[in-house]
Amino acid sequence: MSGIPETQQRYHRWQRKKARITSTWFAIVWAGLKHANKDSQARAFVWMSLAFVVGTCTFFYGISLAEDFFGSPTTKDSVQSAWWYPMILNVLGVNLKGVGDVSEIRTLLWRTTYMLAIKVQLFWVLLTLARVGPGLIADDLRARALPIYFSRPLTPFTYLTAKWAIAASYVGMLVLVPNILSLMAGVLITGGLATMSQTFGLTIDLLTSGLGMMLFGGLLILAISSATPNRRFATAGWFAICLLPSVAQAIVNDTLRGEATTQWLGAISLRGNIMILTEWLFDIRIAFADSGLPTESFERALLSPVEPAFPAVVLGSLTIACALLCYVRVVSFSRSAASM
Amino acid sequence: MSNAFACDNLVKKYGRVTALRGVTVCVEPGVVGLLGPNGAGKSTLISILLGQTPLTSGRASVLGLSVTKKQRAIRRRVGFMPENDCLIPRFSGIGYVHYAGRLSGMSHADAMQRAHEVLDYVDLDEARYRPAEQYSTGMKQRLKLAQALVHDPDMLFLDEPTNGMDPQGRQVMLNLIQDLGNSGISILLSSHLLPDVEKVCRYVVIMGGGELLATGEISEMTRPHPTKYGIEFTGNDGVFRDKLIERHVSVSSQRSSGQLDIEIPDPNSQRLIIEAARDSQTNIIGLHPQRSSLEEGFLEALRKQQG
Repeated sequence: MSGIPETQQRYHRWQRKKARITSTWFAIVWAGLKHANKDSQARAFVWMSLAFVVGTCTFFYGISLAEDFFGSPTTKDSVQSAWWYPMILNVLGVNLKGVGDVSEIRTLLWRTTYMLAIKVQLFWVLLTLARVGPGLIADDLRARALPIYFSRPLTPFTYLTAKWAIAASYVGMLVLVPNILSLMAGVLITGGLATMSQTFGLTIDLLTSGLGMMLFGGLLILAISSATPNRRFATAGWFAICLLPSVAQAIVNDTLRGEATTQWLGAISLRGNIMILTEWLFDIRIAFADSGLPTESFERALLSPVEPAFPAVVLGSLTIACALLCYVRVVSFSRSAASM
Repeated sequence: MSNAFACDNLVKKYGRVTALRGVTVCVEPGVVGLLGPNGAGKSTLISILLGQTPLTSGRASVLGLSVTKKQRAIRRRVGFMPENDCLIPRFSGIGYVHYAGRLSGMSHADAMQRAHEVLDYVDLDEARYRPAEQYSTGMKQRLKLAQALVHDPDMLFLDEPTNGMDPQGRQVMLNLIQDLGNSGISILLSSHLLPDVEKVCRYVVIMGGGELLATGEISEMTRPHPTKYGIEFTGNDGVFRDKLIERHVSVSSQRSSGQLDIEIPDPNSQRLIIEAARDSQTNIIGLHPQRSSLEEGFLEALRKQQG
């Protein structure tokens, strides 16, 4: 055996019990998260998402202080007679004359807070997925690594769902986890079962919005990643798909301002669609109606009612199209002998 | 013992293009060479045997398991070393083989232990901790072999395992393949390099244009030629040569002074050589029947197909 050192071992068959086949999905997800976590920017974005937790908790704490503060009639009167009180109300566009207790409008305030938070978190998601998402499938395509996966007991479905889970985990870490954490912290801060029962619907809405964003964002970046073996093109595609329609929407809104057509043309952008659905989900008008406050007092602060059907159809169709595109790309590539 | 693999009238069409045209072959366990020019259908055949590409018609089985019904069971028992690099970016050597083990369903601890074992086996020492993208071609090939071995398959599909390797690295790889064959693993070795196949394989399958051109034991294909001989002699080269030609013995080449390659008119006419030597007063030192090379067998199979 010339060429092999004398110490070369002979091949030994594996004596241990052959393992179960259940861990392949987790293996892909774990390896993907480990690799994505090596990206310092992606790591920084995830850590910065804690700012939402801190920010919302601070706000909730402020509200709880206000509740205590306004609980005392003397303090309430002195605040209402202060020179700055009407100024602040004017800026906020509300009239608190009908409000007997701040806790009455707690749900309203919390819902508004989360709706605003999600607007900012969307931008965070855009940046983070631009770091961790484009290479998910594109890198495997470029390296022609799919035969390594599909020569093993692994189906394209397992592969795709595992890759989706990597992207979705990041969306979850940026949106779902901070929002649920801050909600739990808020409930603890304001204290009591009363708050928990008041915010139960909000918890469901936060879960729904978070999971929805995980599903849609994960599949969109996966579809873009599967469309090209070049991760730079995938990154450019991601930004183009997320940002260009927003620009188009701005132009359309500007051009057709006031005309009836803006109703649906205004929902061209993905961000616009997501925000319309979020506004619909976190409908503060309902929360407001539940609070029993007079509508005219909050007229300026309340958003105009939204129609969710069109955005739901757009995002739903896009989600299905993305899932199909990924599947077809991966299956066709894995079945092509040329890829070997 | 079941066959390593078997195909029965296997047809694969990609749209209008027919990649495999009724391939029927049955191969016993062992080290088997798969030969054929580009576009012969070798990769398609491997892809079908791995259960990756659905077949259009016919039947195929690997280790006695149907490729259409038992794909996952087959993939648990086979290892595949692709021709391309297939290195997933940002993995170290050990990370890559460990990941391959995990993808095969091994637990973290088992995959890590086994990854070290197979990396020792393919002689990737401390290099295993370096990013795999920095490896030389030879190291990448050995790494790919390691990932194919990590789950201890019963059969290996090796697609051009010596591609791009220097002679020493190639020798190492061939030795590893030989050793794997000796340890009881069936191997299907697809290669353009006929000497590699000739060196390590017992059996060969030759394909061309999507058809099976020839199959058989390599020893059969490279058996001694009945009319071709190599002669070593002392005496006058020119005179001996003329005397051979006078007797209708064709001289195909003169390798050096005192050495000739000849072809006699029929298998029973060796006496013509003796007569020519006697007439030219030449002493024959050696007379060796020439063996057909695998290359000749391969080219002949291709010629038959084209003709």
